[in-house]
Amino acid sequence: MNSAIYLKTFNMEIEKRLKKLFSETFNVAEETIAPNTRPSNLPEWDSLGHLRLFMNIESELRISFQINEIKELTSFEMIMKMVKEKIVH
Amino acid sequence: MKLAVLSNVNMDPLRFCFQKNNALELYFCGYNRWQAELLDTNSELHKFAPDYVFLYLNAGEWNGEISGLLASVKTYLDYAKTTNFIIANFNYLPTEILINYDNDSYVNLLNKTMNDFSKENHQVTILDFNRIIRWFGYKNLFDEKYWYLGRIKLSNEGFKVLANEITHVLNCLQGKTKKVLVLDLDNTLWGGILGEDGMNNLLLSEEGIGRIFADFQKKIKQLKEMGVLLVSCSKNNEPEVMEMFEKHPNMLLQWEDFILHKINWERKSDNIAEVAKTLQLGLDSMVFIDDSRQERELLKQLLPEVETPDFPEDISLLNQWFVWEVVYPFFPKKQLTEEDKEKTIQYKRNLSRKNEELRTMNYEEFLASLQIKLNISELADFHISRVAQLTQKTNQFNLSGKRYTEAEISAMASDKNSVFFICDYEDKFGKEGIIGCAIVHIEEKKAVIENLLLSCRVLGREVENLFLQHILSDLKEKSICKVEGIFRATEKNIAAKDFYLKNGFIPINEQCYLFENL
Repeated sequence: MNSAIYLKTFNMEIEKRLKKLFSETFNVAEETIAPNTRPSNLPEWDSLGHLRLFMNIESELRISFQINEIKELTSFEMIMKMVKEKIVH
Repeated sequence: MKLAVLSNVNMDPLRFCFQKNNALELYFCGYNRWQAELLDTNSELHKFAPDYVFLYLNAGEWNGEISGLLASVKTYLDYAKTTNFIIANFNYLPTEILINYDNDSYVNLLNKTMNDFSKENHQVTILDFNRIIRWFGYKNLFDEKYWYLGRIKLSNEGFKVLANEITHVLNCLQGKTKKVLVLDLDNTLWGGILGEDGMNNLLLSEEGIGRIFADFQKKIKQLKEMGVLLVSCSKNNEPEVMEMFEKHPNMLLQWEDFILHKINWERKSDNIAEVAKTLQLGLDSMVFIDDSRQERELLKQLLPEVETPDFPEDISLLNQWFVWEVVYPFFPKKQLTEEDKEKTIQYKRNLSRKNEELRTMNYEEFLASLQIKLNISELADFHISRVAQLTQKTNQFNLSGKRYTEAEISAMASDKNSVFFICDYEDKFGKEGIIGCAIVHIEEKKAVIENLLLSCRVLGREVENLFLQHILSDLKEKSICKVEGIFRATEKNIAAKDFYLKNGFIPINEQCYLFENL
C-alpha cells in the first residue's frame, strides 16, 4: 500500500472512531456530528459532557491529553487533528 | 428500582455506567450537598424516595466529623425506613507529603467506626472500596486531571469498576445471589485427567504447579463453609473418583463436601437439570465451572439460565480469577446468617429424609416417624436478616409473592398492629432453623395474614398446616374472631393455591380467603 492511500485510510478510521465516541458520549446520532460541531451548536455538549468526552477518548484510544489541551480543544475538527497527532507520535 | 448517589465530589459520569440498566432510576445529588439533602425533608433526595442510596466520600476532600456523618445517615434512615444505604469505605490516600502511618490509621479509624455502625444497623451496607483499589490500583482508578477541570476524582475505569461493584451489592441486597457451584473435576480441581494419567500423576500438591489446584480447593472449601452448595459434574468413572477423594494426600475437598455427585458419561446439561430438580432449586441459582470450552459452550446453549463464566487460559490465574469473576459477582455475602453455615448439612439430611420417604410405605407413618417439632416465636432483632432472606429466596410457598429487605422488615416490626410469627423446625434428623414466617396485620377483632412463607426444604410434610393451626390458635387467644388470608398467584407459587381452602377458609375473591367464627 502506498503512503497516500495509507494516510487516507488512517484519517477515515480516526474520523469514524471519533464520531462513534461523540455519538455515544452525547447520545446523538453519528450523522449530527460534523467538523464544525462545537458546544455552541450541540446542546448536549455541556461542560460536564466535555469532560466525559475526553475521558472516553482517552480510555478508548489509549492516548492522554494535557489539562490545557482539554480546555482549548472545543470543536470536532480541532479534537480530530490533535488525536491524529497524538496517535502518530 | 431507584438509586440515589451522594458524594462530596462530582460523581456524574457514574450515571452513564448504568445506562444499560433500564430498571434503574437514578438521582445524583449535587456534589457536597449530600448532608443537606439527607437532613432536609423537603430536599430533592427526599422527594425522589430512593430504594437505595449510595454514598461515596473522598477522605482527602472531607474534613467533617465521622459522628456527624453517621448521625446524618441515621436521621435519614429513621425517616426513610425502607431505604437501604450503601456506603463506600474511605480510601487510603497515596499522594500525601508525609509518608507516615498516621494517615492510614486515621482512615482505618473512620472505617472501623463506619463498619460498627453498619453492623448495628440493618439498613446499612459497606462497599469495600479499598479492596477494589488494592486490586485495580489507585493510579488506574483515579485521575487528577479531571479533579482540577471538574471536581471529578475517579477515572473512566474507576467509574466502571465502581458501577460493577454497586451492582453486586444491589444483587446481594435483593437476594439475587447464586446457591449452587457445579464443578468439573479433571483440569479443574486437579491438573491432568484422572482416567488417563492415573491418580499418582495428577497436578495437586503442596509445591510447584500442583499448588495452584490445592489453593483452588481451599477457596472452594471456604465457599462451601459460607453456605454455597457444591456439586461435582464430570465425565469419569465414579469408583476411580471416589478412590481419588479417599486416597490422594492433597485432596482437601472431601467426597462429603459435595451435596451431589454427577460422575458419569451423560451430557452435562442433563446432569445439571437433574441436580436442579433433586435440590428443588432453579437453574438460575447455579454457576458452572469447567475448563473445557466445548462443555461450556454446549451448556450455555442448552441451559442459558445457568451462569457459565469463562475459565482462565493461564492456569496460574485460576485463584484470582475465581475470586474476582466467580465469588464476588455470584456469591456476594452481606453477612453470614447461622442458617447459611448449616445449609449443606441440612440439605444432606433432607436427602436422607427422602430415602426414608421411599422406604416407608405409609405417608402418615412417615410423618409421625419424623417427630416434627415446630417452635413458633415472635420476631426478635436477630431474626431480621434471616426473615428478609426467607422472603427473598422463597418462591414455591410464598403466598403473596412479596419480598422484603431487612429495612422493610425492621420498619414493619416497629408497627404495633403487625405481628410476626417465626417458625423454627426440628425433627429426629436435626434442626433446620428458621424455615417459615407469617406477617399478620391486626385491626381490633380482625386479623389479616398478609403473607405466609415456608422454605421449600420442609414442604410436603404438613408443616404449612401445622404452622397455620398454630397461628389461628394464637390469634384466638388474642380474642380475634375473623381471619383473612391473602394469596396472590405468581409464576412459582401455584402449588400453594388451595392452601387456605384446605384449611377451612372460604374464598371471598381471587386473592382473599376468610375464616369466620374462630
